[in-house]
Formats: sequence, C-alpha cells, structure tokens
Amino acid sequence: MDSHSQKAITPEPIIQLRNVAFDFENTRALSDINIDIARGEFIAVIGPNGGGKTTLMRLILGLLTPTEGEVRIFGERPGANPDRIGYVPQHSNTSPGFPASVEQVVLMGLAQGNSLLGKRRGIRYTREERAQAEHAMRRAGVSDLGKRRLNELSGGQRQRVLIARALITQPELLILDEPLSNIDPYGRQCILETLTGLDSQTTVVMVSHDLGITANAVTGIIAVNRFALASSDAKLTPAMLDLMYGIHEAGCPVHSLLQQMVETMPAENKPTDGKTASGNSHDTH
Amino acid sequence: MTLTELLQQNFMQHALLASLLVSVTCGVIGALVVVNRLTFMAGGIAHTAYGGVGLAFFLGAPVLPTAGAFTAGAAMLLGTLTLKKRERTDTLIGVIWAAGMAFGIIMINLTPGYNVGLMSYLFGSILTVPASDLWLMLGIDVVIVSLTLYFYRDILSFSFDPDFARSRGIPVQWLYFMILIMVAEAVVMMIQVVGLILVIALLTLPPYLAERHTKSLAGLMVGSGMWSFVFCLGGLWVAYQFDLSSGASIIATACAFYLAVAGGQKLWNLMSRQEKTAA
Repeated sequence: MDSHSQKAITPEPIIQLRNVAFDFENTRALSDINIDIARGEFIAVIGPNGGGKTTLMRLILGLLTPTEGEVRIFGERPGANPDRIGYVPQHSNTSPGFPASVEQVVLMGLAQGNSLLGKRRGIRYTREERAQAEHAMRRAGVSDLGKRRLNELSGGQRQRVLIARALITQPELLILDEPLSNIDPYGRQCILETLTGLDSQTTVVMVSHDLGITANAVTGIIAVNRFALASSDAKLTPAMLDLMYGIHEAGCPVHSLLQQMVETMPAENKPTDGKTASGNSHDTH
Repeated sequence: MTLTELLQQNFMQHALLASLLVSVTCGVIGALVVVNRLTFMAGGIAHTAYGGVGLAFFLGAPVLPTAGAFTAGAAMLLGTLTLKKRERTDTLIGVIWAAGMAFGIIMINLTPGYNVGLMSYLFGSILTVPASDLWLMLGIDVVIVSLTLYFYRDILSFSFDPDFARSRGIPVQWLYFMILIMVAEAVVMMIQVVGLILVIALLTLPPYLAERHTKSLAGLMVGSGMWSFVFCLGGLWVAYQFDLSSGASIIATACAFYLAVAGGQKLWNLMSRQEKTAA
C-alpha cells in the first residue's frame, strides 16, 4: 500500500499523495502525507475525531486543494474523472425530509458537471438511466426501497442508498466517509457486506474513527492524526496507536483506554507486538 | 358590483394575471428556498430590495427594473460573503438586511416631495399592477422556469448534497449564485403582490403544505405554485369582500390554510391514536 511496503512491485497506484500538507485557517491540519493505494485494495482510514481523516478524503476527491504537495488520482488531478470515483458521505449530512424517492436519490449519481452545455438534461430520466439505478440499488441491497422516501428508512438503509448513488456510474474507486457512524450493529453488518461484496477490482477507501471496523476484507490501514501512517497488512502497529492517541492532554488516561480498545479488537487486527506504544513518532513512510 | 362585472374590470384582470405569474415563480423559488434552507437568506434579500426601491425613487427610474438590478447585486454580495465566512452567515445576512433597508430609507429621505406609493412596496398592491409590470413578470417567469428546467438535475443534486455534487464536477458555486439571483428577481416580482415585508410567507408556506404529498422536487415546485395561486385568489376575494389590504389578505389566507391543515393533521393523528387505543 505505501510506497515503501511489500507491494512496491504493484502497478501504478490509483491514489498517490506526495508530501501533501493542508492548512485550515492558518492551522496545519495535515502534514507531510505520502500515500500510495493500488487498485483493488480495501483501505480503512482510521484516527481520532479532528485528526484530518475527512480532510484527507476531501483532498483525494478534489473538494480541497493541498497547501503543499501533490495529489494524483488515476494519474491525473483529483476531480478529473468523476465517473471513475464514487463518493459516499455520511447519511447524516443529507436531509431525510428532502422531497425525493430512493430511486431519485440514486439517479442523482448521474448528475455530471464537466460541461454545462450539451449533456442529457431534463426532469425525466430515460429507461436506460433507470436500469442503471436499479442495478446500483440491487448491488447496495436497496432495490425493494425504490419508491420510498428517505425519511421512511432507517439510518443503515439511508447509508446504503447513498452507496447505491455512488455505485450508479460503476466507479473503480469508492470513497466512504464514516459510513458506519450512527448505524446500529445490524445496519453496519449490512453495509460491510455490501462493500465486501463489490468487484475485486473496485478500490474502497473507508474512513472510520472506530478501530473495530477492520473487517476481513480490509487489506490495509492508514492511521491519520495530522500525520499519516500506513500499514499494508491490515494490522495496527504500536506506532499507529501512538500517532492516533499518544498525544493527549495532561490527565487524560489515554493509554489505559487504548489498552481496553486493543483488548476488545479482533485478534487478527491487534498490534503486532501486542502492546501500545508511547512516544511521538510521526514517520509517514 | 357582480362577480362578472368585477372580472371585466381592468385592474382585476391585471390582479388575476399577476397572481398567476407570481405563483409560477413562487412555486419554483419557494421550493428551492425551503429545500436549500435559504429562508433567512431570502428574507435578507427581500429587505435589501427596499434599497433598490429607494434608489429608483431617488433617481426617478422605473422601480421594478431598478430594484431587480440592485437586489441581484445585493444577492451576489451576500453569496460571496457567506461563502467566505460560512460560520457567520446569519450575522452577515442580518447586516446586509439592515443596510439595504437603511439605504432605501435614506434615498427616500433625499428624494424631494412625498412618495405616496411607497407603502405599496412594503405591503404589496396587486390591484394596481400596470401592464408593463405584467410583461416584466412574465419575462422573469420565463427566465426562472427555463433555467430551472435546464439545470434541474444539477440543482437537484446540489440541493440534496452539495459535497456530492461537487465531487461529480458540478459547479456548485455557480449554481448557488444562480439560485440567489433567481431568489432576488422572484422577490422583486412578489413585492408587487404581497410587499417585501410579507414575501417570506408566500415563499415558505406553499412548500410546507405541498411537501406532504410529493416525492420529487419538481412535484414540490408544482404543488407550491398551485397553493400559491389558491392563496392569491383567496386573498383577493377576502380583500374585495372586506375592503382590506390585498397583500395582507393573501398572507392571512395562506396562514389560515396552514393552521387549518396543520390543525387538521394533529386532530386526525389524535383521533387515529384514540381509535387504536379503543380497539
């Protein structure tokens, strides 16, 4: 996954970040980020709230421009290939009361702004477009909800509708921003099954602040807390735990909390040396 | 005067035409204002329009075109400021709101003579709409409906989820400014009917009533337009019957419908619950 990992022989990565930094109102939110992600990987981006996970995703999507460094997606600038990238925000960012059926929300994924002129437009969708929506809804497991409104659905169902909207263009890269937040365990399981059931050539990058999301399908982890550390074997390292939670305010019992978190993690995802680390190493390589 | 005789009067025909034309815009823009949560912004734009009215009086220029240009400029300024300082959106709207009104009052103060017609821009006067304004209203309708139809998919995607729309390459800032300018022109058009003080009610009450029975943005626009036309006709009838201000009568009619529907819904829910409990 990262450029210095065992996957160095993989073909040209589809996501490349080189020495990327981002300032938010004169405060450095991300610093010295170097990440390579290859086709077909399932990457979990984890870290504490406010650590820069969402900022990192927005840089990859081209919604933000890096203050320093370079981001390349499919070898081009971010945003150059909107049909090849599916973006799934948190369902709570959208209004459940919006006047649209599930099918209409999914069809919104076809909206395209490369040029304001000369594209298929109008209120009515073609039969072909509706078939695309049907296919995407089936892949996301919401094909029986097409005529319902979002406010009639559970949080997990709404999140899967947003996944269907992202899948309608059959993207090669799927970016999900905390899709498991505020979702009950059954809904989380459904979403994870939807994601793990995707074509093996589809690259998935999923943000979460929950260490427990490291599902079986995850092939790599990126820990983000202003800096980033990547692991190519889906295992948390002591350095990652330290990066995410090692810097803390005086009096905050972070280490005992981390110990508890590690103890409740699936065995295969526990840190390789079985203990949390201390210190402030921020090596992004 | 019988109803037939009344309908043959020039002023009443103009009022009915103005009701129809303003309802089209009300339906489209009201739905956009509500789904994009721009109610406070629309209120700011409406009150800023008073600056344009004052400027028109001061310059001796035609009111609607002058107010239209002034309000579009104010909407662009508001859009630019709120994009730069999102966390200060409500404060900035409040400032522009008051500044526009103050500018209008000062312009009126500086205008020689007493301006009798000024009140009609504050509270509306649908019964005095001249033919030239009807043509202007038709023009605004055509532009707003055409833009909305052409950019419908972009507007829909932007209104539901601006971040996703940006990730699809949709120029969301451009759309945002386009919507704000359409709101500005709609507001100026509605000033004739209900006055700038009451514009917000006619923009928000119809979508509130229409959204219960629609599953699409286009449906919300059509439903809101229909409710708006009902309110305008009802208000006109009330104003004529009781010799009241037409603008206030239209809004009072809308509020009465709103209370009846909301109250009816509550009553229905209560009765359904009692029936279930009894069963």
